[in-house]
Amino acid sequence: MRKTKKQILVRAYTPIAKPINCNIQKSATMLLLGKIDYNNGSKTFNTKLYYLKGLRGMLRHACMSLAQDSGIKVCHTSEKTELKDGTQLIPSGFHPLGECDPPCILKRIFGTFREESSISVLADPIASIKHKEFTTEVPVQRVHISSEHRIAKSFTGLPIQDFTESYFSGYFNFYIDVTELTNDEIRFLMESLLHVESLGAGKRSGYGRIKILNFEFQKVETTRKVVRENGTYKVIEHESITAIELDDIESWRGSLST
Amino acid sequence: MSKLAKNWIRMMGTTKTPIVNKRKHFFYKIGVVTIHGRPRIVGKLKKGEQRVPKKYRAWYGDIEFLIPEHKLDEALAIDSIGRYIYEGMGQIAWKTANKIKKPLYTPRKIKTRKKIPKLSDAQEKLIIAMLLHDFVNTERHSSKIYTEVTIVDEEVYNLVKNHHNYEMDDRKLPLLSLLQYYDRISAAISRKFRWTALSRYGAEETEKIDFDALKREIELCQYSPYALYTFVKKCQDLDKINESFRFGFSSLKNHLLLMVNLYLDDKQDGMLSAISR
Repeated sequence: MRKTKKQILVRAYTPIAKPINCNIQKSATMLLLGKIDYNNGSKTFNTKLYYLKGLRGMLRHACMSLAQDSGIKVCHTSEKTELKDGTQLIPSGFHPLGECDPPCILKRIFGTFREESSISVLADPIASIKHKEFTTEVPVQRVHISSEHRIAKSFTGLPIQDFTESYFSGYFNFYIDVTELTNDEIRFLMESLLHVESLGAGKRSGYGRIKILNFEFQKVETTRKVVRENGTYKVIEHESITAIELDDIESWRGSLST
Repeated sequence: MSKLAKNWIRMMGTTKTPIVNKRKHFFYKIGVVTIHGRPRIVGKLKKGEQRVPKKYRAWYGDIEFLIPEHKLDEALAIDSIGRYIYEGMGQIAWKTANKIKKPLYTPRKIKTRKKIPKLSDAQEKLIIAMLLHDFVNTERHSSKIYTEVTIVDEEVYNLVKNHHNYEMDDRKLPLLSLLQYYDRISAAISRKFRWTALSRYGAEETEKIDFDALKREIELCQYSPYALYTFVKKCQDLDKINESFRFGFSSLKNHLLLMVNLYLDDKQDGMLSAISR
C-alpha cells in the first residue's frame, strides 16, 4: 500500500493552556487516553497520556479573523441568527453557516453541519515525563501537566465556589492534513496561522495564550507492507518526508477575494 | 462484505486516540471492527450556542479488524475509524495481519431433541437436577408451580436446593457449577421482552392449572431422566407458566428443554472440559 499526503507541520509554545474535555466530569480534566511505559536508561516508568483537544476550532477562529481583516464575507460558526428576545448573534462581515452560494472559502475548508470538512487537524498525545531522555513505542510529546485549585470569591472576600481544572504548558507540535486543498487555499491557511491567539478555557483571565514559532509545508509518503516473521504476519510502516516550497504567500488575495 | 469469500484476514492494531462510536462491535466500509478496550467519554462544545456540552461514547485499547483476503490493500490504507476523524479522533496503528480459515461466527442452531441419548450415572443425575431445579423453594424464589416437589435422591436434592448459591464449595458438589452455568445461559437466551407479570400464569391464559396434579406427575417420573424429559416435552401446562416475573412472555417449559439441549450439544462438540473450569 502506498499513500501520499500533504501536511503543514506547526510548532508552538504556550505558558499555560486548558483544552478541557468539557465540564462533564466532577472536575474539569483533559481527555485521558491511557497509561504508557517509557524507558530511561535501563529503568522503566509509566505515565498517563492525554489528548490535545480544540486545535481545529482554534484554527477556524484564526481563519475567521483573517477573513474579517481582509474584508471577505465568510460563514459564522452557527446557523442561528437571533435569540428569542431579539438580540442579533451574527456580527457584520459574516453570514449564517452554510448559506453561501457559490461556497465561501471557510465553507470549502471547514464544511458545515451537513458537509464534511476537507482538512483534518491532528496532534500526538501529550504526557508529563520527568526525565529529559526517554524512549517510547508510540510518538509522545513531553510537556508539563498538572491541575490547579481555584476559589471564586465575592467582593467582600467570602468564597463562593471552589473548583479544580487541569492544564499543560510547554512546546508542542500539530499537523494539518491539506491533501484535498488547492494551493491558494493552503496559502490562506498558512497566513491565518499569524492570527492564532488562544486555545482552551479562561481566555479572559489570561489562560491559553499561544505563540506560533514556525511551520513547514511537507509531502509525506507512507508505505505499509505485510512481512512474515516467526509464523505470524507483521505490518511494517515506513514514512519519507520531503519539504515543499510555496512562494508568495499573500498571492491568494487575487483569486479568492470573493 | 460477501459471505462467499473463503479466505479471511484478521488485522490487529492499537488506537492512538479514542474511536468515537456507540458500540464496540460494528461494520466499517469493508470489514467488521471489534474493540477490546475501555470506554472513554468525549465531550464537545459548540461555540455560539448556549447549550450543555454534548457527550459521546468512545473506546480506547486494542482493535481487531476482519476482512476478506483480496481487500488487504484497502485495509492497510485506513488511518482512522469512527466519528470526528477531522479533529484527530480514532487514529490507528496496525501491528499484525494473519490468515484465518473460519472467521464468521455462525449463530448456534439449537434443536429440541425428541428423546435424550444414553448417559452415564453422573450425567443422568445432572439432567434430572436440570429438569427439576425450578420446582423447589430457594432463597431467591419459591417454587414456580406454587407447590414444592419432594425429591428422593439426596445428591439431586442438594444440587437443586443450592442452584442460586454461588459460595458453595466445588469439592462437595462438583456438578453444581455446570447446573448454574446452563441455568444462566438458557435464561439469557429465552428472555426477550421486558414485561412485568403479576402471577405465574401467562398473559393470555384464562383456564386454571391444577398444580397438585402436576406435582404428583412430576414426582412419579423423577427416577429416570428419559421419562422426565419426555414428560416435560409433552406437558402443555408447563408451556403456559412464566419462567420469570420480570419477563412476562417467557415459558418455563422452553427454559428447561433449552437447558438440557444446550448441555447435550456441548457434550457432542467436546466443549465440556473448557466450561467446567
